[in-house]
Amino acid sequence: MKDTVMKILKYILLIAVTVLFLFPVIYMLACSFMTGSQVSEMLNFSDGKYKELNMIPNMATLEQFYQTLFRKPEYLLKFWNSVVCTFPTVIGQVAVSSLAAFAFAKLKFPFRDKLFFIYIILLILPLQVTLVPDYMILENMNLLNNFLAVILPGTFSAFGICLLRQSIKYIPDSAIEAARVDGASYLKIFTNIILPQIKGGLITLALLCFIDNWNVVEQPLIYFDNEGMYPLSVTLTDVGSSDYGIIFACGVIFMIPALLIYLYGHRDIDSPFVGTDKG
Amino acid sequence: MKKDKLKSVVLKFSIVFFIVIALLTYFSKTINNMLLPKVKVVSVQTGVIDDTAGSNDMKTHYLLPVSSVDGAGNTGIVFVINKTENGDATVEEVSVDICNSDELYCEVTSDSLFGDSQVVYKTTKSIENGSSVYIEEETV
Repeated sequence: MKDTVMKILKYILLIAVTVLFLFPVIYMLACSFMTGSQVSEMLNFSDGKYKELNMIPNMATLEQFYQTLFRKPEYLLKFWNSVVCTFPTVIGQVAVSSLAAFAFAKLKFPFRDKLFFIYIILLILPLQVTLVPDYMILENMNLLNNFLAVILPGTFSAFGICLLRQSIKYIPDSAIEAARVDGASYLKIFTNIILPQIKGGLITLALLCFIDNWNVVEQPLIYFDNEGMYPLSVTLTDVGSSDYGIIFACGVIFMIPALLIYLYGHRDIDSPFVGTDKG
Repeated sequence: MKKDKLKSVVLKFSIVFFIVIALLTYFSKTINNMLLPKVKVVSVQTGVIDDTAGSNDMKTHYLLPVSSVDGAGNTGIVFVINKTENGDATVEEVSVDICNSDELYCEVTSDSLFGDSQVVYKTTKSIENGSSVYIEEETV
């Protein structure tokens, strides 16, 4: 009896925490089906607080989605800005990190461990610390107001290298030595032996890198003067916007690629290390 | 097997999603412009209809096409074009004082009209203050 009560209490607590975490998403979904006027009236910020937080639409409608998809091309263009900022960064980061991780894990060269230690220090530095130096470097390279200003710094991530180095370390040295004896080059070893075995790690890195860059806000705000280049993530954080209803609909559309990528790789994210192909 | 099926469905959905968004991005401006009221606008010009009548006030007198002024008696309204940074246009309702008119022009004065203002003289749908419009033809 006592066990049953404990179990029920545990489930109630878990459900409460889940609802708490999911509330912003549920609220966004609910508001995206309201009319623009209802959202504007509801979120009328006055006297230091919003008028009300209602989740039930007076008249459920797809008006906000219609406006976003058919009448407001600027939001769709910002969606593509997000794509342009994110996908090259993910591809670049996975490529650079896997190669660097292979070198740090399996190749022997002078100061290897010291260099890796420096990488670890880079890992613990907050983003804001490197924003100004990055800005100065990008300015000298004439890359401000260019998507490369967001893509290039994102490509060289210490986190990706650390994650994949751990994955590669699980691969026995004997496999690499055997390949070397058979005359395989390091590039061949990397592509034929290392990469297939760290598939889980690569997908994990790609997922985390995607989420990180899909939600990027600070860098575009600092590196881009032209608002037309801002990704959708910046627009969604514009709490002073007059188009609250459209912001909610954009939020739903913005969420879809992240969800799709998670659904595609969520089984692999459970096991980023060697022997991941569990099926 | 189940994992592969899920991945396959997600992949297909992703491709469709991005293609649809790409098509909508390409055509949304066209769709939006098709649904907006199409207007013909003309730049305002300064002048008077009858020179001999004389005018004692110091205000600038503008000549507008008769069809652009909606009003009776001495007052009326015109719709002035406001262009945004990205080239979209909205209309602003402006009150004018009608001084004189003939078959073609209305002579008006207004504090809200300027030398470079453009006014709507023909529209395909009814418009109101703040409406977005698509400029079909601009006459200087």
